[in-house]
Amino acid sequence: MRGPLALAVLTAVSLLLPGCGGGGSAGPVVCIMSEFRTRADGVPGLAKTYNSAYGTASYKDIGSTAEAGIASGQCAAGEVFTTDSAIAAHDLHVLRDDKGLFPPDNVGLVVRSAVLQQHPGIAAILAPVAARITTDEITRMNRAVEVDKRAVADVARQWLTNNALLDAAPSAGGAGTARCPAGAAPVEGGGAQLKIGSKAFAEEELLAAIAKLVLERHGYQVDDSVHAADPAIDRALRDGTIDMLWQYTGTELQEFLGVKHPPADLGAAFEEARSRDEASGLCWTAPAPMNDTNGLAIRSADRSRYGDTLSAFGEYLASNH
Amino acid sequence: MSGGRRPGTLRLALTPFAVGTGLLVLYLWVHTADVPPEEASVLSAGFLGTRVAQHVELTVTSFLIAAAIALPLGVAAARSGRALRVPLLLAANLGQAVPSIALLALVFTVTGFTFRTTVIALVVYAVLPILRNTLAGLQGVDPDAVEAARGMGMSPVQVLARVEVPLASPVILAGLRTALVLVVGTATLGNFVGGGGLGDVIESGLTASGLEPASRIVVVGAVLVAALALTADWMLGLVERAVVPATWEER
Repeated sequence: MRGPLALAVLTAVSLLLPGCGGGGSAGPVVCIMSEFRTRADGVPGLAKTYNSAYGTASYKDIGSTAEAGIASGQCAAGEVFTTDSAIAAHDLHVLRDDKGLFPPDNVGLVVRSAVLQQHPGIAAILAPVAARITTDEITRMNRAVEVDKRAVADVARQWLTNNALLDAAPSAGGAGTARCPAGAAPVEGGGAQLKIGSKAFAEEELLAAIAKLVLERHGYQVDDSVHAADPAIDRALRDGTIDMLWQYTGTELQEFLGVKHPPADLGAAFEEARSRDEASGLCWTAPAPMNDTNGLAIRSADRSRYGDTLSAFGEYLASNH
Repeated sequence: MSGGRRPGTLRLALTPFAVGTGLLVLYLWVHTADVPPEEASVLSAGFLGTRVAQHVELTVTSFLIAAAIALPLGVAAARSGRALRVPLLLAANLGQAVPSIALLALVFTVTGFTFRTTVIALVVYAVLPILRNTLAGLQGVDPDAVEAARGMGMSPVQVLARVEVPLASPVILAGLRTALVLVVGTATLGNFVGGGGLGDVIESGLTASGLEPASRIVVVGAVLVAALALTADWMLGLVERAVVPATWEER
């Protein structure tokens, strides 16, 4: 009979199995989204800028940012975005990027040039509002939506009211260019219809809601119903399905304009995206100082073990591999 | 079959040849190409090797557990009345009707980013084909053969082990093969919940930043999964040849 033989093989195979669960090797596990592995400012950049130990560390691919995994101890460290509400909610610490690897990712309102030429007031209306959206402010708003489960429109309205921004005086801070005018009349919309798109996550929806509320105050009718992820939303902007979109400078430069190493300075990155996109009929207006960039986070309690910075964590990885 | 030749012999010989050729072509294609440094980290032997190993581990573990659950259940279902059979099949159907990614997410909420999460989801997914085929195979056994065995004085266990299971084995093994190939493919979803495996390779290629996706990485990941699936199916084919009674095939 062949039964006993098959049984012996099965037993042998199953005996080999325990103890190798998930192929986990020694050393701390760093949770990332798969794209982080191949990005110039992902694992390759960490290995090159900080410590070669980042190149050989043990990475676990997950389908989302890592806050929950870090908090539960399943990941020693993990990829996060710096304005994410979950960082504060889980008491995490973002390792300081002490050598400036992660390019700044601040936002601006990208408006199609044809729309802006017709309504140059958009830039002037939104510039003073955007100037007040700092990393701290947007993180707090993200938290109100994602953790406290409040409605996006309510959070946006309350923030605008608290900061007296609904009736802020329009000011573009410059005349703009022929292709992308700013500050010129007419400022009021007079019932003109605009479509603002957003990527499908809280921060983008908040920014779109803020723009909608302020523009409506100035007589525009704003439709904010289009939500999609990159690169579909970017295509929607280029083909005119939507008129404007809050875009991240780092995303635009690296993903769509092919700039491998964007400027490390927030203002310079915005300027570079603005000048490059103007030729293709897209106008960057209303720069916001918030910086939603990549980072590696750890539990706040682990700072004594792993250190405060990416340099220190790199050294820890090198000595604990 | 007329010449006494067992069916599938040609296919059994061809599979290793086709898989080997495919992998060789893949290797040459990657090696002669100009691979940018960001992609090279994914296309390295070390990275691909650990992902293949994880994938095999996920597949084998899930498949063995699913078989250990579904084979006895299948026998029990065949023996019992409708009272047990209907709810069993319903439950197994449910496991497969839920989209695999949703199943993974459900399990994830309980077990988190672990190897176990992926294994549990894969087991739930693989139970149905094994259970259903075991049941169908046993129900299809000629009642006269069972009668004859009883008449010879065999105990119920002997009837099951020496008459019913051997006669049902082609159908049972077909279920096992379906489940195994299903598990190899579905294991790529382990990527979303930290399960590792070849999904890491495919997803790294799909989400690689830059102006176009890193299609070379995606192709490598997909070909490796396909090679694993073909190899797994081939290995069970060998088992089938060894286990299924020759007389059955040649009749």
